[in-house]
Amino acid sequence: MIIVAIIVVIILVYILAKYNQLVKQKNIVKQSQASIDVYLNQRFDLIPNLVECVKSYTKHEKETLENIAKMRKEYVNGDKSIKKAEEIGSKMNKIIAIAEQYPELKASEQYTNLQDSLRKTENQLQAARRSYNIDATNYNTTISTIPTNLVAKMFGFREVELFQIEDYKKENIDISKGLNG
Amino acid sequence: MKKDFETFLNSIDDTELNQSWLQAKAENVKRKRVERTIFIIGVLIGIFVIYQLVPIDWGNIKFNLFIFMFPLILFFIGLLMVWIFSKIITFVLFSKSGFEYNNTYKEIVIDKLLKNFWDDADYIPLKGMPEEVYRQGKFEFYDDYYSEDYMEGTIDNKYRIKMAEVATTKEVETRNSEGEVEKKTVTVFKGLFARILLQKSINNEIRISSSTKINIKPKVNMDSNEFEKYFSVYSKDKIFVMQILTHDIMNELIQLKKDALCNINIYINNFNMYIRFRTGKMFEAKLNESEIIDRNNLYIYFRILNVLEMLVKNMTDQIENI
Repeated sequence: MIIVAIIVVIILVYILAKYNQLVKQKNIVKQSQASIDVYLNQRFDLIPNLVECVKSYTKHEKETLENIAKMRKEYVNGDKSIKKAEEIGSKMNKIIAIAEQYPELKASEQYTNLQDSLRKTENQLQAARRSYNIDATNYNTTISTIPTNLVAKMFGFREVELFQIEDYKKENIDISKGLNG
Repeated sequence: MKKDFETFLNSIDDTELNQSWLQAKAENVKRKRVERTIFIIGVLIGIFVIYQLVPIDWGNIKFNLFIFMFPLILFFIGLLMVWIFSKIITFVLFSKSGFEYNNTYKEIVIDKLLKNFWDDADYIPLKGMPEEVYRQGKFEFYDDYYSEDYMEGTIDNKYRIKMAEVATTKEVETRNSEGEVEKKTVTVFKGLFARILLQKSINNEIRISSSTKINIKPKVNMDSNEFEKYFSVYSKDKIFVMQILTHDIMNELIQLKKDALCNINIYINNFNMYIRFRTGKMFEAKLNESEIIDRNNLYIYFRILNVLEMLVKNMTDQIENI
């Protein structure tokens, strides 16, 4: 009887320790995700400036510029999914790619400063995404390895999605699709 | 413009070095001869003493481990002492030309080597890096500090670099087999140390180390298993680390670590970047009897400086981009 009780206590202590470990790791992932949000917001805050800067040179792209401003509003007011963020990011990069085709715009001080800010935030964003992916991979590995996976299942811990950085990068440099692509 | 090793080696005018090399070589021959003589005398004395201490009756010999082993051990300990004694004696008597060769080597070859990397290099062999500068790198705790071979210059016309050979030692207490506490001086670090002044403050700190001995928190996990095989990274700001250590930079660092063939420590703090290579002695001449300038030895110095230059270039470029 005592032996059974000791075994039960050991199992409970183990489950408790593993549960705490999982909570800790999940919080680290959340923290990394929050950092991404901060940098995404910083980046999207540059959209009004970008639109303002580009619209006088690319009048025929008015609809697209309005569209991206609308998308940014939607993101700020609620839909903060990875997909939405990537959609806006992709649109921004396409606008930048098109802007590169206007030498006068490219040479303007306002655009140069904007480009510098965009580069910095993009750099930080990439770094935050990598940091998130490391934390998320650690968390995913923990919840999918035996025997922690049993504890994870018991308390409903689920794998988190990773950023496909390489795909995202590829999309950034594909300027051939044009603004409405 | 920087020359590759072969071109650099061929460009050295060794006429001035030739005279001191010949003298050092002659001195070395004498030294070896004296060493050999002292050693032979020591061996003969040892054999005589053993013969006197252990009278062996060869006609009635029985195997006794103690009788054979004890004098033999004594004999070898005696030989070791004679060898050390001969080295000390010959070092005292025959080192003048060796020192002169070393000084000339530094003045001619090392000075030129440093100028090959940094045009404005100001090399002062007898000067050391101020201890305060080394302490700022927060590498380790130590009791004694020694430095020489100081150099100052500019990288890419932008970054001021100060560099020197540094050695630190520490007193440690150990217990011997009888449980008594013994004090021992151990080398903590010996190698090349450099401080580079950045043009931009990073307002942060990051430590990248290929040595597994340090235990600093917080350690940052990196997204490259290959990189983690060679380096550990420590910083409070993970995102900043990711900005500095992009995949390209990580690959470069791995390659540079492989090229350096020694441990590398990097510490970046505000406007400063500190780099250490655990090379052992640097910039000393090695007397080679068939070459005025020992090619292999010089190549080691060339390779380390090349790695240092590339490392600084990669890291500073990256910091500028942040």
